[in-house]
Amino acid sequence: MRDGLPIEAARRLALEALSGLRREADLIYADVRFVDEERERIRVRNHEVEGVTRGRSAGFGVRVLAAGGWGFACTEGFGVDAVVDAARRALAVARASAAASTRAVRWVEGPAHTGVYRTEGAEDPIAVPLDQKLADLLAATAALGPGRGAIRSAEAKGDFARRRQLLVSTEGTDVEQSFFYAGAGFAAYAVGDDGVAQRRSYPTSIDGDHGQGGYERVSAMRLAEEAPRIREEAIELLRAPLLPEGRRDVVLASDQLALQIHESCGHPAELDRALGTEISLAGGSFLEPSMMGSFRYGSPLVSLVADATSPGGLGTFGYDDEGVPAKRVDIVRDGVFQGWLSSRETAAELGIEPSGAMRADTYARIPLIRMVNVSLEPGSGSLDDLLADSDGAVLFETNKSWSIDDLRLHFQFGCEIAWEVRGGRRVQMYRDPVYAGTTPKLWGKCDAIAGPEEWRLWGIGTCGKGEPMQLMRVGHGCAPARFRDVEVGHG
Amino acid sequence: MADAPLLEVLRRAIERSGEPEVELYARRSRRGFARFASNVLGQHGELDDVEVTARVARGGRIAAVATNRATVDDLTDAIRDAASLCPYVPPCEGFPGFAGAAPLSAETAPPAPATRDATPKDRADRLAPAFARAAEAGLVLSGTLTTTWLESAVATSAGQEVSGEVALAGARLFALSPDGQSGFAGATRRELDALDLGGLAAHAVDRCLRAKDPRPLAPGRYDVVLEPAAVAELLEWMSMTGFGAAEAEQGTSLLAGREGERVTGARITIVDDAPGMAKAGLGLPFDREGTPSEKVVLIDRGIAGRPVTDRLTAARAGARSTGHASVGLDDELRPAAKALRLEPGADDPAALVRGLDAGLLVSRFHYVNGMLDPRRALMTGTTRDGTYWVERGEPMHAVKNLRFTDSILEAFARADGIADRVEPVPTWWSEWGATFVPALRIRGFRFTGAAEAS
Repeated sequence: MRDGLPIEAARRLALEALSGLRREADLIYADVRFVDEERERIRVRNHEVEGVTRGRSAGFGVRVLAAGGWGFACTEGFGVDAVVDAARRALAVARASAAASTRAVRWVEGPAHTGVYRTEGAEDPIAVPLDQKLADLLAATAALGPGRGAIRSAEAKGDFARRRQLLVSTEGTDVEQSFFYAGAGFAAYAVGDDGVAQRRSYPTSIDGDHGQGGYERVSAMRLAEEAPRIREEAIELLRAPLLPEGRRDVVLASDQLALQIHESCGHPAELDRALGTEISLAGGSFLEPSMMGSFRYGSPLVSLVADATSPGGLGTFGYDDEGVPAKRVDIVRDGVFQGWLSSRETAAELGIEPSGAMRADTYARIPLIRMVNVSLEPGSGSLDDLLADSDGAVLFETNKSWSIDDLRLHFQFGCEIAWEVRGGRRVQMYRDPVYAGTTPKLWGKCDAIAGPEEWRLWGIGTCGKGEPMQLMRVGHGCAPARFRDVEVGHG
Repeated sequence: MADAPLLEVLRRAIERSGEPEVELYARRSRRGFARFASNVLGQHGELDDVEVTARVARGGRIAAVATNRATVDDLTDAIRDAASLCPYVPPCEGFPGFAGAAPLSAETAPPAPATRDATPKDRADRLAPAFARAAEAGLVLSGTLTTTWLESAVATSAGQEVSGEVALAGARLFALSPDGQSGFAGATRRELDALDLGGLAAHAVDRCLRAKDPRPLAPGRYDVVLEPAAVAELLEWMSMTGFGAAEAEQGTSLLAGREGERVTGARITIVDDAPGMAKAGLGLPFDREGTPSEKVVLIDRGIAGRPVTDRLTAARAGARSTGHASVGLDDELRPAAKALRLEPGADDPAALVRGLDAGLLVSRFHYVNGMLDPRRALMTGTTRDGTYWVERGEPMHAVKNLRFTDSILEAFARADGIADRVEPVPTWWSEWGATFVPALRIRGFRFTGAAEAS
């Protein structure tokens, strides 16, 4: 693959585009982002490599606020004409937007930030030999034994990326960042004689676990070593009973709890949702600005933070796409709702400091308020301690289905597997388990959280939001937790 | 944006590379995207996207390289980069080679110039009256107005060369009241001027006003009329989990091992009709591998058919590709049905509601998930943007949103009314195309919870 555009050349082009915009009398603000991302994806099914794809996407996105309206345009061109033309087009869009809108955008000028951020201490995952990565994934699917017994098929995936980006603005911001990302996972599909199918995944579903770092992240997953256990669980699920409907104490394993946090804390804490600007697709939020500092979101054990500084997180960076430095912000402290994931524009609406959550997935998309690493602070003790104290509870692990209403209030989640816990042990497996509830009620029933030794930062690389849909890398750290008296059943 | 015709660029890159087994897929688009909230155009842009994927095979060893630069030099480099990866990849058993020359099964209606060339001002000028219409009613509008032009081409070293372009205009309008109620209207058209934004705004406003003071309703089984936007979401989930050959191979598809068996009611026929979509100017009649897309009957009067295939899954099944190679949001190449149509019945849409003694009129669903048990098409989701209680055929009042959990195959078997016309509903997975569906009346649809209980 050819070398990319040097950052210095990108900076010259971006500054040239800004220079032209500055001459416009109605210009309020503009920024130019250069993003260059290379990605390698590998997909293995059974004993075959179904896909090895390397890709590169690079270009400039220009955001303009003029005459009270926003405009955006982009180009994959690396010539000065292309970048300047994108700036001109963004300006025209902004002016048209202003003419149609019933009020002007409120914008508060911010400080300029300069700096450099890069992923520390990681080996470039794309530079790791391809045959090594293929061997690791094929070893995992081989150990799952596709075609043997009830295992109909097995798949494994690896996803590796390196990304460079630059942001310059009319306020004088100039920040340069570079990242490595790596992740992998596998799944076994078992089919019974009656045609019933079950999936079991590792280390979690939805294409596995991902993070910021190098291939060492994947090596640490010990994929082939874990495969025999996953195979046996997939087969055993075919014979497992359905979880009876009722109300039970529930322990959420950390991979499922990560998704619970994502859907019922991360999304409703996005301030654009609360202010109504995401209503056309994702919906709104049950959280309202008036609730800050007073609304009881959960039990006093529950403290949730949006932390863009967590080491190794998919939502970790130096600066967001508006140049706001990465920070750690309380969403919920001791059970009380405290703050938002916000942008400069939305934070100004409430008179608060922006959390630094504006992110775009490529150069060609408009930055939106996105999660960073939204994490639950740990409690104390091990998972074994928690299970020993949870007689009769049901342990849910690994997400299978997810659905939550447009206010992020009422949810139903299905998992790949659950166990009834007796005497601190998993004594009865259940298939197709689901649990349901409403967000503040569930978090209000959280009465135990395992400790730092069980806390794990998970990475989701495919959080969808916006129109056109953008897929964002976000992180969620948590330890397993217990919730009392939850509605459970089966799909 | 590059100016040379895409197909010519692809052809020259293949020639220059000298590589014997190559497939180039290219797509470039310009999308005018006006996204508004509370009558403010807060996200409005011209989104230019270029995507080219070069796949190279050497002795069945296949690798791919993607780039967003559609020049002969860049594509030649991409081909060579892909070739350099092939030695590391084990041979793919059953790889049938890249597509050979084959004629398209349908002509594509040419793009409408007014849609293709729409300016920011064209979009803004159409929205301003719609905002005013909502404001007159004490409401605000949120949503999108898009004008998309897209060109796609595929060339292979085996001789296939296909290309086409399409332009679409789409609108999704949500009228919102101060107390949080909403009403929806949406449409996709080939011609920008055929998008009746005034009519759509009036419909959304009317639905929102009727949604005021929603009353709670206990979970249970209710007769329902599902409007097209609700039906489309169910059909799209059925497609994601059940209509592709990869899901059939792994045994999780609702079609797996059931060809010729009854899987739902005799009133239900579901097809994937890319040729028909192309004739209407709403899509293209070939897939990412350059294979002409066939019309495929997935469910015929309740009887399971075969899933759609790409070249590899078809070869494994000893069949010919149906021309449905696609990529999902995860960029994986796999077969998918994306020109879906649920065939219409014989009922006047208004008569469907009149046929409800006591039941619900459902405008849309939200956050449907079809992963619970794909073999049964077991899905869950919530209602949104207006759910109305109907008595003796008349909508009486709005109800609060409800969660449903039901097997859609079983629910479709209980459909006793199907509208006599289909509506193109914009898909949420693609910038072109639509899902064509009629309104349905279903008896005993299972609601399992209140969506907004606090």
